[in-house]
Amino acid sequence: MKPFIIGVAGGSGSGKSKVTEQIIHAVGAEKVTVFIQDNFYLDRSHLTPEERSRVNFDHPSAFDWTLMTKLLDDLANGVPVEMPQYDFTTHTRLATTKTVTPAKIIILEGIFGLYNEEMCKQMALRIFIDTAGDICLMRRLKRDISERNRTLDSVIEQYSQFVRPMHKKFVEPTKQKAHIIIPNGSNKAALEMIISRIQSVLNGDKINLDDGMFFDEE
Amino acid sequence: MSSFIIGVAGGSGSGKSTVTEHIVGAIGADKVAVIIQDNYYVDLGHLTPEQRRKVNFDHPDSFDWELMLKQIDDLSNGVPIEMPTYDYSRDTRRAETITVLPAPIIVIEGLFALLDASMRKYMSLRIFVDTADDIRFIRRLQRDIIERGRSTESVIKQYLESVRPMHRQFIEPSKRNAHIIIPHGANKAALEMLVARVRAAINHEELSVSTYFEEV
Repeated sequence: MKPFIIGVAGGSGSGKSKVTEQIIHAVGAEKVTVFIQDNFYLDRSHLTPEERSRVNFDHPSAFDWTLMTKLLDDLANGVPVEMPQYDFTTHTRLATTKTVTPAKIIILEGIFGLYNEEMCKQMALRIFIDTAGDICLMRRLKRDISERNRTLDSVIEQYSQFVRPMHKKFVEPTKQKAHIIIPNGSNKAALEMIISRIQSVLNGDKINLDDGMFFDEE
Repeated sequence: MSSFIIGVAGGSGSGKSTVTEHIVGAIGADKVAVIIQDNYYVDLGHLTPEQRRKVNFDHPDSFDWELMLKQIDDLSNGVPIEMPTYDYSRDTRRAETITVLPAPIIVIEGLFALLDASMRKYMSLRIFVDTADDIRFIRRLQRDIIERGRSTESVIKQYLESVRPMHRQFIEPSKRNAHIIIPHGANKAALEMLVARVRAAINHEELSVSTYFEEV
């Protein structure tokens, strides 16, 4: 049984996780495997705190793509995987992993969710959440200050130095790989469409991976 | 019967009609009522040929919004409509009309389908088909030359003088009124989603999406 893999991409603060949450809420957690790209940050334990502070975490090279593609491939073939876990305060990979068994629906969520072509080809549905830059920044600001104890200045500096340029260079262009773009963050009508499609797949509708789309154009 | 109304907008040559045709083909013509905005061009029979040449057919004012809105309202209330048809060679409304019967699904297709707020209120799903300008131009060129016998020069002239500026002024901004944007014209995955949504509407399926989302 081939799973139905959905890629959910979009800038930091665009509302990706809201889409994932709503899908789980609508179809049930037992039918959905969530694959969070943030768990695949490279381990930086060999770097000094000083060196770590200079790492560009908003660049695709900050991620372990080898492991990510391998694990997605395993899940696509019905093989359970050991999902890495990341400690964002120390920028290190935790010793513990989380065992994940593939469900019929797999959601891959991350700012670079549509970045890797091999992974894109395994997705029957590619979604890009397109939220205005200012709105994304406001959400990020709130989250980083209240949940991560960051200062206003440090958030803005990171945003200007890394988040924004990396978004323009690497995230924004992946919009072209999406089957659908959801403007203004997520909305009910778009979610209902996505969920209808998932329900139809759960009820036995065929999954089509050959969408004949545009990779050769790029 | 309350119908599920879908608005399909996008520039000239974007692939709107492909989306509409796909819905009709997938669920059957008896279940879909289609309203095409192109049929609602204003009758210009009272103008001289010289005056007609000066009309900007790519501006929203070239359409009979009042009639269109009235007919959408009728259809949504289960009342059959007589959709007008247009004679493009004489810029007049034809005597014949098309009878459109109420159906569980109504598709409203047009360049400006997402422009007018009072029309958008009827729509449960608003779609913008977003295709690159150059691709749209090629399609328009081919269609106008082959189907309408126009010259390349006249197509280019109209494109630069009205199609393009009107697109930028009115159509492109209406993209933000969409619930979903389909890039690169219609694609299989997007159409499969759309058909699944339409089937769910016909079968009155419960989709349990939380309602806290702000309306666009």
